[in-house]
Amino acid sequence: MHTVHDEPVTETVTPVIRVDALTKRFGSRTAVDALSFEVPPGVVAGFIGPNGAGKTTTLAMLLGLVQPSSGRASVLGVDLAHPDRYLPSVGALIETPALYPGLTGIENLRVLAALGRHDTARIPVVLDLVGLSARGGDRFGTYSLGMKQRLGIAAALLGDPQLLVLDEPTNGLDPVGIREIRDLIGSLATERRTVLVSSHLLGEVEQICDHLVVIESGAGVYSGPTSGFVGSGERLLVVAPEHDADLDALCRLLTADRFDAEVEHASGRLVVPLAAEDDARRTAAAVNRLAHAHGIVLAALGTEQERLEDRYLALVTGGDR
Amino acid sequence: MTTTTTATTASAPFGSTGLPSPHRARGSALARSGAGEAVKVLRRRFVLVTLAVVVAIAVGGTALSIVGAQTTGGGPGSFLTVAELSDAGGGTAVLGQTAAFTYVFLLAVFIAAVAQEFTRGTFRTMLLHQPARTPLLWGKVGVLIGYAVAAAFVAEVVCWFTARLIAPSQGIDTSAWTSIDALGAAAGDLGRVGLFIAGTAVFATMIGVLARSVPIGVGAALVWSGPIENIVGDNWSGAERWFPGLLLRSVVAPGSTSTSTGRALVTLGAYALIAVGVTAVALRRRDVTS
Repeated sequence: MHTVHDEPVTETVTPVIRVDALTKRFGSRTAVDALSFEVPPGVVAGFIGPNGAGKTTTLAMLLGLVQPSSGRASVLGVDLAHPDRYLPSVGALIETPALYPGLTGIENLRVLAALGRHDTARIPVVLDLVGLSARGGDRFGTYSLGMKQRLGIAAALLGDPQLLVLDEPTNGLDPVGIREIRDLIGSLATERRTVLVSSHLLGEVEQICDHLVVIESGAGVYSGPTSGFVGSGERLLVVAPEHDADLDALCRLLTADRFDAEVEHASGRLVVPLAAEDDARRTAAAVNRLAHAHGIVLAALGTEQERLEDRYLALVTGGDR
Repeated sequence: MTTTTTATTASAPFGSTGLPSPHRARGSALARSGAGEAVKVLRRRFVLVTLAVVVAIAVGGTALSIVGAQTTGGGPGSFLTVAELSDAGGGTAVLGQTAAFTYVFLLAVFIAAVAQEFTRGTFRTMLLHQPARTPLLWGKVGVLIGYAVAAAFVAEVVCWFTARLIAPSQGIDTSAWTSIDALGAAAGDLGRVGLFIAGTAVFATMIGVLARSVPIGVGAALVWSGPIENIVGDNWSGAERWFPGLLLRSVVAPGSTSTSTGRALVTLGAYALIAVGVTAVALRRRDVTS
């Protein structure tokens, strides 16, 4: 597991979620394997991993739905063995929203408000937050998948929780809905509220999460700030000659001239990894001069920062994309 | 293994930091669960549908009992006699007999109500708002029992009026039906039906929790209460003393089986304790994965 120490310690913060060697076995299958991570308060934490990596099982254990086989964890400082003590301060949407199809959105929220002793005055507030005010009186069974997701988020927000846990909240949403939920999630993290969101939409995670937990096959791969994860990725100089036929020749030229160039035939370009101390502008100029000196016209020349998706794929597949 | 950019997470011991008791945690888990279920069952359209079903069953059952009343005989498994119907409790006696006929329907309804919470995933959703599993379940079932008893009261009133309308045509004397004794008999009939409903609900809850599937739960209940209880019951004299469905029939319609109400109640009480225990263990030990 990668550990990130970006800056000197300046203060001590009690983690909102602390997981230590948490393990869950279903028969002979190990769904979560000695997973350890922490989530500091006030962040939007992304929980990412491939399908079947154990994300939902981990969240279910944190929410008291599934009993761990071994290991320990605490939520809001309370041991996992006492979900009744911390769940009143946690709002959660796990898997698909499961509510009563014959009841309206408002009636469903009234049921949950009664169960959790939440203030029913919050119902119109949370419906408005998720953009369902106009459809609150319609039966849940008539909702689209996206609307069901929104109502599930509204239900999670009913108790104005300190910790919000959302499992794939953008499932089934159209692009506009995804953006709205992304903006909503981003706005929900405050000094007193932490958000843990699992998602397979890495672009979305990258935009809204300031902390990341990455798992694969039930085991932790990375835990720490998003900047530490993505920031540790390479910068690349991307070079595209006008003609694909020049790709190999240009690669040989660059390699002979100290550059560690690599051809990407599928995209018709060369990539040159930049070291941390490299000046991208000067390196690009050097490459351009070299190409021009040998009669190769460049159609594109620029830099790329490795994205979360690239870094994630490199980590979980060992770089074999 | 984790730090943030500006701070390190503290090594707070697990479970050492108690949360302040939030205002949302007030009230007993059982009452909160009941309040949640009440929101569902007290919806206008649900109440209206229930009323329609109750009135239909009550009118149909009463008409059948009155029209089928025998002038002589009676006893286990037979219709009420004209003499029994002419007693002070005659106007409401049909309630028990009608309820006994609804046993399988009632069992299926309660099993479906419980099992569906698991198949739909709503039990999982409710646990996130009220994590005490056993109170969550019994709060819900308790309200359903109360609702069913209230429906039985409506049915009793409908039974009385229906019987009053039809009885004269069958030569049944209804003069005793408006006496104080009739009121006592009506209360007794409703009490027996209440026990019948509660007993059925307890067994159905156990089946629903163990099966966690409506088709499997209802199917198993139908096989048990239909072929097994009745066919075995017809061929084994001890069945009426030990099979829960037949014991419940003894409670709700005294005389319909050879088992006394007292013995039936004692045996059912023991069964109910076992059912509640099994349900509690299953709820506590099994993961909620759907």
